Amino acid sequence: MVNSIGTEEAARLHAEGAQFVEVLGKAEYDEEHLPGAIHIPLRRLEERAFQLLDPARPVVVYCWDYQ
Amino acid sequence: MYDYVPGKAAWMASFLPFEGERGPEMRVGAVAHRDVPTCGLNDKVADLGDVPLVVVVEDDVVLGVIEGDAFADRDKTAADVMKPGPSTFRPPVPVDELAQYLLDHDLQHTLITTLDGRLIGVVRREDLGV
Repeated sequence: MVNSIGTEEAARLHAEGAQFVEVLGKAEYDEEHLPGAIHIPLRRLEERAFQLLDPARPVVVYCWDYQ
Repeated sequence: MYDYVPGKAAWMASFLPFEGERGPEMRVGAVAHRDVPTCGLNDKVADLGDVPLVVVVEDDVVLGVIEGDAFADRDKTAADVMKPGPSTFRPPVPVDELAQYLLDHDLQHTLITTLDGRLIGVVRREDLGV
């Protein structure tokens, strides 16, 4: 189940140590990303999420804007 | 799992910290002049002073701009003479992208606002070296 959240909730989860995942391309991730965010391109999300993410902590995925 | 729908653009425009190769100093928010003159809708043009640009605001939200020949109608109000709904940019826009926009649209300056339209400042061509 995926819950849509806004900036206030995202900032709260970030402060609480949630895992943030940017799903844009590598060049966009390299230019800027949320502090501590990891990079998993959208097309590889299912494959790599199991390898890179801690199932015990909340996960927040994001891209550039409303897409 | 959560989907942060407004995304990176909203995060950065909310002045929250971010990391990466293109730092905050390369964003238009860092070069915006914050001392741009403002007025309210009902202010008389004659009272606006001798300035090249005045931004018309209500509760800090940008409603329009007054510049150039619009200052000639000194007996009218700001609401009468302003150009409503100017295009605006958010602080995280890279300076090179805004420079290209100003060149492409033959503009001398543009306003920088928050996501909800509150005035941050103005960026002029000379601030961007174009």
